[in-house]
Amino acid sequence: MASADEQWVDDTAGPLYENYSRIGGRARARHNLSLDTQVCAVGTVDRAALQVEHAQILELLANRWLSVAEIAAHLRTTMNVIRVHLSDLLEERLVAIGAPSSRRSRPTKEDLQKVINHLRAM
Amino acid sequence: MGPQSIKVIVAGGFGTGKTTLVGAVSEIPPLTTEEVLTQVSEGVDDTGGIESKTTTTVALDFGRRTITNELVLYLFGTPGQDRFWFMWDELSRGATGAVVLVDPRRLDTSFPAIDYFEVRGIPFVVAVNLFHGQRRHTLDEVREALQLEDSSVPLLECDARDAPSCRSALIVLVEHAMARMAAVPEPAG
Repeated sequence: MASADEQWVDDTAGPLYENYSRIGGRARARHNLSLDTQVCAVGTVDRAALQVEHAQILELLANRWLSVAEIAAHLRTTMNVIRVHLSDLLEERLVAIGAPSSRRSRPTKEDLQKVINHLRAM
Repeated sequence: MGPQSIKVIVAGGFGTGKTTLVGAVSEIPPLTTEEVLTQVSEGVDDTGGIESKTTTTVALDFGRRTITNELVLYLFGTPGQDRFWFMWDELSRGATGAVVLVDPRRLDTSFPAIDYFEVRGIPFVVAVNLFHGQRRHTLDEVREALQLEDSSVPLLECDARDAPSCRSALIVLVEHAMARMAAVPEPAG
């Protein structure tokens, strides 16, 4: 899935999950797409009208939330490339993202206790 | 919107069983994801000041465990080579903590990982990976050899090939992280 765009995306100085690039003179929106950021497909679109990579991503996310890392792994490409596609899809309002594990959305003690309970019950 | 994700790092020197531990807890076989890192370096030739960019692809093994439909646990193994610290920073952002696997025969290979988490105040536990039931050291000896700055860091035996053992290490880490949450006041905002 590597494309000529990839070279430009790598040409950034910011943190990994913030992508700035200029493609065709248009600046890409910045989105927080960390490794574990949750993504889901929303809205409806004729997938046949989309570029192949976008259609593949939407099919993967049709009825579930997946992390950026999982999307890249399942589609056998890099997270860098996936972030570019997700930025496009976000602008098209075809995907929604949740907050990643970050200062603004940390797991609570209740969340951690649920993890412990789940692991104990396995 | 979307499930809350909980991120745990699995670190340790080569051959300590990181991917094995991830696989023991993951509901799917471990996946591998890649990140391309760009490094800008100064050229060293006579004309001076010439920047060159090199790109490296870093591969990470990871797994997931769905806790509820609003809560998902991710386990990310650290990159194979220690030098990709930029990737470690990305992994650590918002992480609950880390399990550091230690081979008692090669303790020094875990020092960089332990240093990394200590310096950043990231909760971690040390899981001593015994191979074939062989025990040349006691946990106390390992603790002393590791020179952990914080004596409250949990140290436990862990066989990465034994799923219950892996779950125990993870449980101890999450409990340790919870205890740290209670002790440290959350920053404002």
